[in-house]
Amino acid sequence: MTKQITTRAKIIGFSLSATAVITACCVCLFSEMPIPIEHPVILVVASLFLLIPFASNYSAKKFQKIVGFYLTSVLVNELSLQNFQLSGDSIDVTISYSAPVFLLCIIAYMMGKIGDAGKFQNLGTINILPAWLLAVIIIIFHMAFLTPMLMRFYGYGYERNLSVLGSLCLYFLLFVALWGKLDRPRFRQFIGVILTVFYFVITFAKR
Amino acid sequence: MLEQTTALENNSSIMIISRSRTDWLYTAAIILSAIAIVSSAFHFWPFEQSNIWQALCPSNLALWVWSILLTGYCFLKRFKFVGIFSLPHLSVFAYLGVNILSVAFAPDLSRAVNFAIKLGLLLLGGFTLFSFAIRNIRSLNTIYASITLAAVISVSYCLVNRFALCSDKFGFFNSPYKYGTFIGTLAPLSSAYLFTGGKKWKILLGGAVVIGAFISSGSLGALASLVVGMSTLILILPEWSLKFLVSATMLCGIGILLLLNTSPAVSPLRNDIKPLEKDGLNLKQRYIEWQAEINILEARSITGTSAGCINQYRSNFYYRLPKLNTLKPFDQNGWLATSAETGLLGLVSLCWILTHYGKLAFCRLSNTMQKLNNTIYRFAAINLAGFTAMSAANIFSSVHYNGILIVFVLVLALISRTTWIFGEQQNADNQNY
Repeated sequence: MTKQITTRAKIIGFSLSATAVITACCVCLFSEMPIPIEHPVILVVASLFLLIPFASNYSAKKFQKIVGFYLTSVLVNELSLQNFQLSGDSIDVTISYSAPVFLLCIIAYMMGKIGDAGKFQNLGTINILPAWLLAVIIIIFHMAFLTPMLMRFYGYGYERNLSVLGSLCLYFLLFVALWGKLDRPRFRQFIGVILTVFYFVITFAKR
Repeated sequence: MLEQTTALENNSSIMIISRSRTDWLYTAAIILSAIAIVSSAFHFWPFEQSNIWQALCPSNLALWVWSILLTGYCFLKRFKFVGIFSLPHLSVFAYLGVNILSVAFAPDLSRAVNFAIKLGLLLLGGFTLFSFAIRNIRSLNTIYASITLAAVISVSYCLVNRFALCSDKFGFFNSPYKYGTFIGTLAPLSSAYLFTGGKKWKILLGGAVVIGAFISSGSLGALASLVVGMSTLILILPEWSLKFLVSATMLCGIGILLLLNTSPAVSPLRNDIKPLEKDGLNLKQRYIEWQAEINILEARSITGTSAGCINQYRSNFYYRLPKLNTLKPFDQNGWLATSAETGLLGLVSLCWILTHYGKLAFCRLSNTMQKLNNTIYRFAAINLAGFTAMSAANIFSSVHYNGILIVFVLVLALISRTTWIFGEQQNADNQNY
């Protein structure tokens, strides 16, 4: 019974993450939003790299994970620049296109946690986590250091600087949600195929 | 020391096998490393404006020659000897990968590709060169001697230039920021090596390097990195007499610097902390650059402006500033410049590199006994001082400046190889015990 629940959770986790990547590609392609990629061939080559089935090379597999995360993040980054509006009777709500992708990834992560319950922790996540934390600390330190100085000199509020921290937190969430999934060769190859198709279209459409 | 070297060589079968096969390559690595380190002190002198010279100056040429030699040897031997030198950690490959992928977003392909090639040459070619050259304590001493020579040349020429010839130039470096980053990292490394050397002349030379570096520094970044590097050394040195000696030398250097900067004729440091708006050294320019880089980071969180292409975008991102900035752009914060060029993932990769090598340096120090006659502790302390100085220098300037990146790679290679050498030695000691 427990095994059945675990298998189901794994399948749902995989499907949700995959759906997130497919949704992001579809929104980018069909919403006619400008995609500022100057040389997409490099991204096509990087996507093809994800398809190589390495037998036992640990470093190459790790590097594939990093490339996979980079390509997915680029995709989400394209969506973050655009918003859609929901208009009610009296209020207008603006939501970033990237929000559904983040939401799907986080649900997939929660499902994955159920699937991985009782197993050892992902060593790759532990290794790179201090680097993410250091990046957060550096940004916070800079904001804290810079804002009073600039306010003293120019009298500006610089409240928008906080949005840099906000985007860092969002990508941190994406990292937490996707990093574990990228351990699985099937998932890497799946998003490799999707992204290769996506960047091929971008290359030929020259958007 | 000789006994330690012999013990290390006797107990490391890998080293003996590899040495017999690659003796000439090892000699070439030592010579090329020394050339690369010492010639980095001359920066791009005497053809500063020539792009070809910037790519093929002696320090870069040494790396090109090494890369060609190693590639040829790898193909000849079918990669059978790869185990004798260490490749950089995965984080370095990740950083390089993010830089290469960011070329996809470059408005100027040639600029981005040139930057990525330079980064690859330094991070892979430079790291393998230094790691191949550092195989035992003797070669480690040779590398530190080269670092000391580079620091002495740089400091003495800068002092002559500024105080005898009354020039605006900082030795062989035109920019005070570049000079500050270079000497801010090398001076703590070389002085720590000399102070812990035990001989009187070494201590005197170490003192002269530190005081000279303080006096010749003309930017806040140089001062900060020197103070951070030397303070780290003071904190981790086990002997109180040496702690007092290093503290006294540092205070002496700061004191003379403050005295010299009371004169308006010799006061670049005063300009660096004044909210002036003019090219070169000034506080206002620094904050304008910082704000512009944060603005870029907000707009291009993941892709950045692409490797080496920040200047193509910078002028469009001076918004939210009181007026359009007309000053000559210059990266004044390595962390933010990396984030602006390669996005948050570039920043995370850089942090990953520093977390990994910082942890390695700190662990090596905390795992050894606190005695200065313990060679492991001595070299671990020197490396940690250099590492903290470099991290501090990156706040007020950038370790990625053309011609300075070699210092960053050198510190990483020193940490990595010191850990490897003494790891082998500790294993040998444990087996003997």
